[in-house]
Amino acid sequence: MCAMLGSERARAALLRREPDRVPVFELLVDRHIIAQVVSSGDYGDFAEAVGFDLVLTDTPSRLYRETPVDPARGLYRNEWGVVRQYGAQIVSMPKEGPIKRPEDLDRYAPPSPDDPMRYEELGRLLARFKGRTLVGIHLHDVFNYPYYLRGMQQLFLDMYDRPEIVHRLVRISVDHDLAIARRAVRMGADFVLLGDDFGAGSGPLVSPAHFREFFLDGFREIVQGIKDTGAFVVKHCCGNITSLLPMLVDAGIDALHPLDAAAGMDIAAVKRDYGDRICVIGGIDCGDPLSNWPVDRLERLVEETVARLAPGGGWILSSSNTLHRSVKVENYLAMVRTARKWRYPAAA
Amino acid sequence: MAQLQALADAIISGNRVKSAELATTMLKEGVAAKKILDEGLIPGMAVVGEKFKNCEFYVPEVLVAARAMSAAMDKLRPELVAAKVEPVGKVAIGTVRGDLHDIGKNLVAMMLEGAGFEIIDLGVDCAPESFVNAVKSKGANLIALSALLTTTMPAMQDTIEALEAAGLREKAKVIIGGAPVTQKFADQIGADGYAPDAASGVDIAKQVLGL
Repeated sequence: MCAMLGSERARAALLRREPDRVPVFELLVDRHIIAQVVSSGDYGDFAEAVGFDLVLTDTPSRLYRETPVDPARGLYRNEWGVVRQYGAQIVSMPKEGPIKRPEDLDRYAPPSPDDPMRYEELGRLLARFKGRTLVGIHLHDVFNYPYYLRGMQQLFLDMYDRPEIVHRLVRISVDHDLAIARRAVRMGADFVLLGDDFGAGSGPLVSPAHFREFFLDGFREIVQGIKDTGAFVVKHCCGNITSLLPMLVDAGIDALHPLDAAAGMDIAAVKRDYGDRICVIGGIDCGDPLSNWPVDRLERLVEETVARLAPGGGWILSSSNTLHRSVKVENYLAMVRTARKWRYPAAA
Repeated sequence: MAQLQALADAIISGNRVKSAELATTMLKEGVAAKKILDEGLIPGMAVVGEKFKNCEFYVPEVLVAARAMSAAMDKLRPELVAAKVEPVGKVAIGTVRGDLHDIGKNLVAMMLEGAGFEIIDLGVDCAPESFVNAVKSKGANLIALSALLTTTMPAMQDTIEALEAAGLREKAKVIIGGAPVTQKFADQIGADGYAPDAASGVDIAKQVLGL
């Protein structure tokens, strides 16, 4: 078999077929990591250098303009009216939302999904990578905007005190993100990554019953809306979401990332139990192994992981979350290099 | 006493109206505020903590329970102060320098308050000096550090070193927690305890203080 294009390789994995070798993807790469690999500091150059088979726009917060609130403290307000704080982490953190009282929601208008800014980075990635890799846009889905707008604790209290507010906030999020997703696919995006985090260390943030009551219908709507365009849906969700898996898979997602072992997720078990319906993305712990282990020990881990997850296809290699600042570049490059030595039977 | 169980049940079910009513009624009937706290509120929150550990309760259930507890505590607090009732411990809790996550820290604070601790919530992005000041100026005898990023975990060690440099390390126990934190890391930096999740925070806090 001739070597596949990255787009072919990634598409095969998402369709749960065997490609020629293990495809490679990352959700987010810290700019310090990028700068150690490519002097330009450009994500596209990094993706090219490493040979990503799927490329993805930056975190959704980058789709919106920000105005300074207190730059010395890293505080900026975006078009949603959410104040975000920049710090050491890859992504800024939401600090305060505009829906402080229920009546604020009556007067609230979300930003337009049609603003050209939402599509600038996607356009650049499509111009460079379309056809060679799969190109995706990173969006929110049903949970993050509601809690950004209202505050997470207040949103959870609203679930008891004012459930209609939660439903209205989910509706705002679904309408906005589905509109962007549809336009992104018309531009040429191959996949949409839905990035909201419902999971905590030992289980989901909300009970399966609350997820079903408040978030599932909206999630199904956005997934099916994207699927109707012909694009793939990749769902990212940190934390332990084992109890939500049946609902997420039934909603129609094509792939699930990152299935982090540190949160108690077993990527091999998820592949075993759901691999006839979804592709799994993940595999190598971005904590100690990618940050601190000697290269040879890391390489052995990668070989074991590939032997466990690759057979049968339906797996895309990534770190267990993101390439954060503490990741050793030599370890990450060794991870990719080692995984690429493995060939699927038809390609061997 | 049936009313004390009813108060615990009101906490568990997150009924803040009922919890406040029961606390008020019992006080009027001459039940000591400390008895209401020790035999009503604290057992109720202990059940909440167990249910959270067992994944029967999730964050929203803990929040409404904590709100019900707080509503009852508002009624008890003047009586507790008048009776000079001391908390079981004084905890300075915060997310460490460079880290902005707060939900885990907030849950632990609620659980600790429900167990009878006085809480000094230092917020997020807390410099080591703020914990030092909490021990020096506010008498905290327990420091609870939260970090959700591997990149901010080193600030936990910085905080312990700051306590040592200030000559205060023996005055306060230090417990740590957060998604990337491990027992091994806690041992490496000389923390007194590690809580693998918010629900365990109370158990670890009591253990390190010998309660």
